[in-house]
Amino acid sequence: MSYTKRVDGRAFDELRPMSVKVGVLENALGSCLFQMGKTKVLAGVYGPRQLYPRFLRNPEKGTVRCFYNMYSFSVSDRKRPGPGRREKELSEKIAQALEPAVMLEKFPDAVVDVFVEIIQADAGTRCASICAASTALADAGMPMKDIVSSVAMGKIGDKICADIDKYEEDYEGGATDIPIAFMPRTGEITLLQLDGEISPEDLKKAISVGREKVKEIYEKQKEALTAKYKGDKQ
Amino acid sequence: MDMIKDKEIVVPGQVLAKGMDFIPSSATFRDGEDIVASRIGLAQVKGRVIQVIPLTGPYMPEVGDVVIGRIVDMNYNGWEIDIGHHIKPFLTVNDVVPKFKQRSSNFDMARIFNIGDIIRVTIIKAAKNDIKLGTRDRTFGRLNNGILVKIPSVKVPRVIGKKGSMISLLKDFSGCRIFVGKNGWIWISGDSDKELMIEKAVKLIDKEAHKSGLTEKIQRLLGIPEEDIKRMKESLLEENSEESVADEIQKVESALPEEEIQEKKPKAKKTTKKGDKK
Repeated sequence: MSYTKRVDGRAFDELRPMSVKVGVLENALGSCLFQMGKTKVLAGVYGPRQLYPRFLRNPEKGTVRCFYNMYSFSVSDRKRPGPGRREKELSEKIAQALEPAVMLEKFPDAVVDVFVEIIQADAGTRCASICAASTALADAGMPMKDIVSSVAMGKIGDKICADIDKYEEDYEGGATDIPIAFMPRTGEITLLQLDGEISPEDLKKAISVGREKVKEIYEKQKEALTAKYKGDKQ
Repeated sequence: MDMIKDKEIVVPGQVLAKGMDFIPSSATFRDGEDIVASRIGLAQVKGRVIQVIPLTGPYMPEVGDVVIGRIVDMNYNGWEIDIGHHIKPFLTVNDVVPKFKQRSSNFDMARIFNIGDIIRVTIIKAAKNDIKLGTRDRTFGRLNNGILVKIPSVKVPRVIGKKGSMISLLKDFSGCRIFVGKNGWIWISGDSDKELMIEKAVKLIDKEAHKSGLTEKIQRLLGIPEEDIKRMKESLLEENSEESVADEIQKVESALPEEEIQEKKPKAKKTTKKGDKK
């Protein structure tokens, strides 16, 4: 069975409508509310601050630590609160995806804490988290090489789709989801995961489509960051 | 060749200029042929030199910075001081009190500095993982009976203003003693209602630092009559009459580069000290 048309009428390489807002939290150094379709993510950045326990400290460069948390009301069935296997793994992955972009050599022994809260989940939460977190890091004034942008690619049936939603993720005809994170300026990949089956050619195609699509996300992130300061600038 | 415009807001990772004709300065780096911004801020093009003036961000200590700190911990050997940086420098008691005084039977460290005290101190070493504080300096000492306001350290030049204009405006208006630490911690001491007024003004400067017409906004906030605001503006323009008026206004409003601030700050401090003695 072939997947001829997407459920919400999007083109196969079309993203869901996005909204990015920075500076939403007063107490955090930097923050971002990132929405992609129905997926809604809030990120806050704190630090750099001293890292405890001490044995985790790296005297060469700082550490990025991420806390990914899903609210119990973020999905239609109640999600049991608290970090489980999935949450801990995703926290690690998000931190790893952000690390190459932040100039951590300026803060040896220190830690930059990134808190990501999933308010509403409709697939692609780790990608939305990475986008929100990197925008929040930039908003915090952290020295960075680039802003990380991320898109949830997928192979639904026999089609390569960009930014898949929950319905497509559960598609009976076979769904493979490939979350990818890029540094848009250089096109370097900072995160690449794959769940399902895909041929090497299709994977290459998915990556190249993703590389083009993150530029759209990057523009939105950039717009949100500059809009905070533009305001009524004369 | 695409080039960034002067005073444009840039985000990290944004290419500011292409080619080897330009030199990257603060908050920028070179990647191959491109000059790239590394922090969110205002781009500044000065001939061939391109730099970014950060709009926010963590405090990066430098040697010679006069900062305001708070004592957060104390042991038999000295005090740990929070200066708004992830490293909390340690101030040894031997640096502060001579040995013979320490031997005295009624010597009490807590009477010199206690936990929670606000002190003013100079940074004499600022390595990546080691910060040392100087004590042989007239700036060193405890600050009593005041309030502490914290703003991002990058906004400090706007609180001081061009040739110290903003800080002297605040001081003249309120009669408060104000010390602005390079780390963005500001200590205000005076009448309690005036203190709160200055706090409000500082918060406004923090919020509107990148916008123009800041001095007037502060003057209005402080309730200075309109005529005086006009007169002050005119006298400011007269002083710099050789340059065009529009240019000058822009210059005053743009964030100041680092080297200008350092010259200014000691002057501002000295004037307060004189005032205190009287």
